[in-house]
Amino acid sequence: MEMIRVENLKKTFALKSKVLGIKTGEVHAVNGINFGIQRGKTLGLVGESGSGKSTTGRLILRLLEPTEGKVSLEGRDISKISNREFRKMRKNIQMVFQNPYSVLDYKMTIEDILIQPLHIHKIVTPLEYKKEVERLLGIVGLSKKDRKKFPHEFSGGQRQRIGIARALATQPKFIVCDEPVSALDVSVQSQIINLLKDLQKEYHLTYLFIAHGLNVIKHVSDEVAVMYLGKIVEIGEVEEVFERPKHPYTMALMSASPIPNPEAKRNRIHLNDEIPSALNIPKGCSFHPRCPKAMEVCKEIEPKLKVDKTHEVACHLFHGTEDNHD
Amino acid sequence: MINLLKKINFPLLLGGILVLIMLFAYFFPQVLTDKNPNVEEAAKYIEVRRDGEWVEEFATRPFPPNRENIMGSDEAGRDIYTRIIYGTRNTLHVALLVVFLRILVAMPLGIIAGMGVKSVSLFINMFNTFFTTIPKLLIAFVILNINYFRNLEIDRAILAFAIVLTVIGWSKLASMIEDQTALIMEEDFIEGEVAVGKNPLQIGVQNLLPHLIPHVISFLFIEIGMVLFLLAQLSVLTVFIGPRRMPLAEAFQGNFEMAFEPEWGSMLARAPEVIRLYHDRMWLTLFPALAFFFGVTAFNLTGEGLRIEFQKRNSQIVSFIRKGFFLASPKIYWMQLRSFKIYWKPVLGKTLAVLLILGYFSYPAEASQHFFDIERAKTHVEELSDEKYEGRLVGFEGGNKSGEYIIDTLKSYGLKPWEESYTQEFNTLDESGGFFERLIVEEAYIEVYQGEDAEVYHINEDFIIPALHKAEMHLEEDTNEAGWIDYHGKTITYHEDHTSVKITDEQQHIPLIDIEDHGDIHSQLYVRGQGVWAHSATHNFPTVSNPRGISYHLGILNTDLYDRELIDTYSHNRTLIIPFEDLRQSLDGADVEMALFVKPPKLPSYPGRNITAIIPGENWEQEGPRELIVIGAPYDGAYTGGREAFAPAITATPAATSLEIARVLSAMEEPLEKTVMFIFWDGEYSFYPFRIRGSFQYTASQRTFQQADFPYTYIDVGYTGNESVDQLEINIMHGQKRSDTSYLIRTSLSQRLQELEINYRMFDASQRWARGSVSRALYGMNMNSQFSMGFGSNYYPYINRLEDKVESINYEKMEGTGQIIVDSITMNSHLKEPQN
Amino acid sequence: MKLLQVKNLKTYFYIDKEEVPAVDGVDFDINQGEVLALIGESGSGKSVTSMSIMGLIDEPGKIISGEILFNRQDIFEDDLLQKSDKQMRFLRGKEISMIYQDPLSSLHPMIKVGEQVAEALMIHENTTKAEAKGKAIEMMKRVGISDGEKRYDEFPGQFSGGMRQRIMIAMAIICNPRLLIADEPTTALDVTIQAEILDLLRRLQSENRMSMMLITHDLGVVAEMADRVCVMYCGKIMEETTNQRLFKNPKNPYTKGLMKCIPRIDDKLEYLDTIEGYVPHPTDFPKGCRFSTRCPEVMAHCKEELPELREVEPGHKVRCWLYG
Repeated sequence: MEMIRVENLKKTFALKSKVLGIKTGEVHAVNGINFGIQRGKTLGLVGESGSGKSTTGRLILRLLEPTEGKVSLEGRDISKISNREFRKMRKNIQMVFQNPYSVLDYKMTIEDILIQPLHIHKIVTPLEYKKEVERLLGIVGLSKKDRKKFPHEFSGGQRQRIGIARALATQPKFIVCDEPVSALDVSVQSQIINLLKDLQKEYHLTYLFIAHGLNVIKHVSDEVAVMYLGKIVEIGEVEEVFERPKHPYTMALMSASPIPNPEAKRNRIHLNDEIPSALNIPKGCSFHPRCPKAMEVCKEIEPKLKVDKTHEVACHLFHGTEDNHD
Repeated sequence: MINLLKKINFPLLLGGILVLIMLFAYFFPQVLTDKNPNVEEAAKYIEVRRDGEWVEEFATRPFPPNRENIMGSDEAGRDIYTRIIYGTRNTLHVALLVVFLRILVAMPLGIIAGMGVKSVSLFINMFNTFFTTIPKLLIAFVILNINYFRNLEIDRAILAFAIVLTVIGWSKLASMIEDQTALIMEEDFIEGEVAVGKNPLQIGVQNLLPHLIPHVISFLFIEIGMVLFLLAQLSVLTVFIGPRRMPLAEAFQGNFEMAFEPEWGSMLARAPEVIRLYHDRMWLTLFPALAFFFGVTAFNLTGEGLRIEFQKRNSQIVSFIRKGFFLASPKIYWMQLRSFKIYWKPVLGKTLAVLLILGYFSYPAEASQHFFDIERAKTHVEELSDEKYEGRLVGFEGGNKSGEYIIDTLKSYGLKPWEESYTQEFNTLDESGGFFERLIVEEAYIEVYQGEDAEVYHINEDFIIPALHKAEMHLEEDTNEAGWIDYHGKTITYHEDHTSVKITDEQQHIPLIDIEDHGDIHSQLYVRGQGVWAHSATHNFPTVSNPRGISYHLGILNTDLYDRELIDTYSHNRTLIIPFEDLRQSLDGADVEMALFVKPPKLPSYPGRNITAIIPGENWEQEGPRELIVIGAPYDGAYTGGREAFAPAITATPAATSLEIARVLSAMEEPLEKTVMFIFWDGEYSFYPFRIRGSFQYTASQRTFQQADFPYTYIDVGYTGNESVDQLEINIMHGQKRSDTSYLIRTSLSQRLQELEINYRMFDASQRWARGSVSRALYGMNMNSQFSMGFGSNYYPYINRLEDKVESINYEKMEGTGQIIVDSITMNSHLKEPQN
Repeated sequence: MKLLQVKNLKTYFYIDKEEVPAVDGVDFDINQGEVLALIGESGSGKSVTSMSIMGLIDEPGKIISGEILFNRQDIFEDDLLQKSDKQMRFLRGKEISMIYQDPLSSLHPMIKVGEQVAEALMIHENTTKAEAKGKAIEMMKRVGISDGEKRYDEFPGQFSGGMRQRIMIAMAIICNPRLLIADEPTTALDVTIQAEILDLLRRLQSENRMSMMLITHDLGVVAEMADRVCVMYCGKIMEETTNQRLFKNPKNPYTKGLMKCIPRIDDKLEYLDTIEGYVPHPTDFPKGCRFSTRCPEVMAHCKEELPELREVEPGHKVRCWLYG
């Protein structure tokens, strides 16, 4: 059963001149993406800065308003409903944020932080708050005594656990994990990743896992989508994509990831590091200025993502040019 | 040790101490000073230090700092230290109220603007810009300098100032809150809160507020400091809170207003002059300025200290407050109640807490212990307004009878006489040959001659006689025709500019005098009548002289007011008549011949009688001085026998009120500590000053108490049923009392009046614009009293008018008067407890 | 030849009357032309070590003991800790250079990029402005900024993250230092850019025969770049060895744990291994071995006494009671 589906999602930011307020440009942060996630599965969303992956997460959670497109949860369109209605829906979609140091209100005790979602969505009766908080803390590996403390009394890893506990409090079906381990120490990252995987199994959760590190993505995802400048350039089952990457960008990305083995062979694919500004997305295939395999057609026509196989790629190398005249 | 010192929050500590001192002065001023902030001393011996020794000097106000007045006195002779202490309350009230109102407005607007609503942000910005370009001080000054504001009573003034200063100054606070809110909204955790599903209101309350509070609190306290400063500035421009009055006469340098209520701002109002001219009187300004300095410092420091405290990360206080909301939530309570078996402890605890709180809040408005029964008072009014008393004119049968009624009533309540008799009698006839004796003219008529015909007009139908020439009255009682007083003459008018009129022939001339229609004939007769009654001519009325050099004996007053108002008859040095419509027209123009025939009037045949009676208190039997509470009320009126359309109800209200008070007090189970004395004044109703007034007779005679033996507080009951004025007017006079008690009586009286929800207005006799609600009795009795107050007025035009009927009396006001007097005597500790 | 010798360096911080031993007795050497990687997690003390070498420790921190011997061309074995601020300034940028994690905050936003590079040269050598400019443009080209002449006049804000890091590198090596300290140089960069920068650094290092001290937390970066590696934990070095041996044969349980718990792109496991527990707070270090609270192979003795850093085989030092 499909838990979530995103169709033609777009987000454009207008840049306004500070002086006159006139629109001076547009940033197409997310430029028409499509994907779906089955229940209980994890889709990894990987990309570098400016790819739009974090924005995508926020769009699904409506922390940003989509400019266009549709988001469906269990078949129901949640992108057009009112704010008030959506707030009720938030029970089902939660987010684990990147920076554990700033994501919790440092003036609230852990107990308060965890009670609030319980209260808003009436998960349990007020008399059971304390017990539920203790249960949540237990799930994420913290002690009951911690509920009276303040966030700054915990380490980064512990705070991230609290963030996860808060996301779990509403008993959601779908969780967006926005770079949940990037800000943590290496030795702690694995703990959190394991925790997330355990929770997924136990509560049959569906994840959208956003990261920039390919190694982490590989471990948690069932499927992976690679984003570049607001578009998905390649998407497929994770084994497939990692073993047989098709898109030149994906290949460059993989080759660039450092491998903790001094004797591993490295076939570095070099890209020039002139990342285009999101204000000025190149015409045609947005990757063509950097692509080592760029062809003439790439400068003109945007390749489409073919949507019917288990491994799709948006690149002219894999489509006959005839197909792209739609 | 040093660690401990580092941990102490010094600003908070210091600021807190200073604020506590101020709060102490706010709540318990009597502890800090035993003087009365309003008592003025003109001159006295003071002890000052010269060359290390205390030396006694004589000084006039303003007194420099001396042993008794440690900060000296102001130009009216009021102790500055005491005024600063009492002034703390008023000054702080304004400052706190202003800041409170500002927060009320600024907080929600600032938060909304900071959360992104542009229109509100624009609004705040506009206000800010406006008040940056135009200085707040200027606007505040212009607005608050309007007369309306200047003359407000202190409570209203505080509110008015607060509102004006709020409107002027809220935007800066809002702007700061907006900026802070915007900053906080940028923080990462806000995103998390949205993701959890909070609506903006919840985010605002649960997340924003705890972060905003440190900034807001510290800013608040600093704001208090700024407002205090603004008040100081305004005062220097003579805009301060509270009513003003002109200083009592005497050698003053210049004419300036002084504040009545103690309040720091008003004390600074003289600063420019003092600094510029009176260098040797710096204490006048120095100490009030220091008071402001103290206040501003206290709040600034405390604000700073609180900010430091709130910024500490481990604020269990904030979490505790949050918990508090959880505990207090009614929903939770209800749920716990339903599962009573499990949660019986918290349920009981909360119920108890709620009951206690409710109990505390419903407690203070203490119920009156004794009730003034307005119905009974009404029966007295009805009785005394009855025809049989004929208006209760002093010295005549009706008046005497009414006195009997009062005495009988008092006896029935069990009141004892003062010394042996219930009455003090005085002469109603002036044997020294003076005027203003009351007269009753039973018969008189006027003949107007037109050619052959003579039109006859009768007294009380066509005219009345307010004054009768004394020399021409016969004192015998024979009534033969020849015994009637008669006049013949011709009418004349006079020039506009009221110069004297010379007459060439010898005939008696009768001037026609116009009286301006000011609505109150008594005042007209009195004021205008300065000329009428005086021996010499005034600018109002001409002298009419004929070759014989005799000024006129008879004058005709032209006015419309006769039929609306009861005007009684007095003896004087000329005779005056007021013609009604028809007669007036007949007499209109000059050269009309007429004749007046007056039957010799009835003279007072009874003495005037002040009725005195007491309810002995606990102190009645003791040795030494016995403190009294004296309640005085006039019971006489004006003769209505001739003109029965008039019902003299209002003039009966004081006595009625007083009688009912007597009943209530005498019916008390436990006696009062002080003895209560009732005096019912006779002969008070008169629009002429002094002489045949009961109160004058009383105080001028030897009957007045020796101050040392019977220190007394005097309460005057005036015409409280007066319909024309909604507010109960109260006059406060300080008598001899110098200590703070009189001030406290005043403030506690105000409080009780508010508790009883009586619409009142309080004057201080020394106030600049105290209205004429002062009775002669009050003035007379005040001089030797410790403290006096007068309720109601005796001045208003409804008295003895056609509208003055039993039904038209404002019984609510009367009841209020009665009740407040009863409550003050039985419940107000400052009044009922002996001071010695 | 040893270029740098750090002996028993101790840098402590004094905050709120608490003593935080950020670097607690660290010894290592860097040879001429070699890349030494300092790897550690937060609180390990790796950054503080580099700052101590550069003489950039300020209140509330203090170097309380140790020697940092730098082999300068004219003076042999100069103790950097004995130098005054002025003397250190002379060295910084010329003999020893440093590049940081976040290039945006290290560059002056209002000064032209080219001028900043040229300035580094002008401070230390007697050149004219024109000469310096010429050299700066050349340097910019060398680090991979094409259009050096045009881009000389641009401002940092006009460059992307990777470009800015290249400028930083240009500034750092324009005077041809003998030691380059790179403190997490690629952590803030995207993966593809990171790869480029690392390649650049390696190229420059070999071209200039420069020694490099690379500070990082990323084992992948270490594997690609380092000749030798020091693993730091809680202010102490836990293991020091060559790159190969570290990955092939890690001895210290902490190192082993680190290796195991990294998700690897070339390998899929159901579950990652973890190191239990959390890095202890510097004010709260356990008695004995600092890793004792989390070590899977902990023994009773570990909790009592701190082990010494001992050479267990040639070129391989370990601090652990498992090894004697």
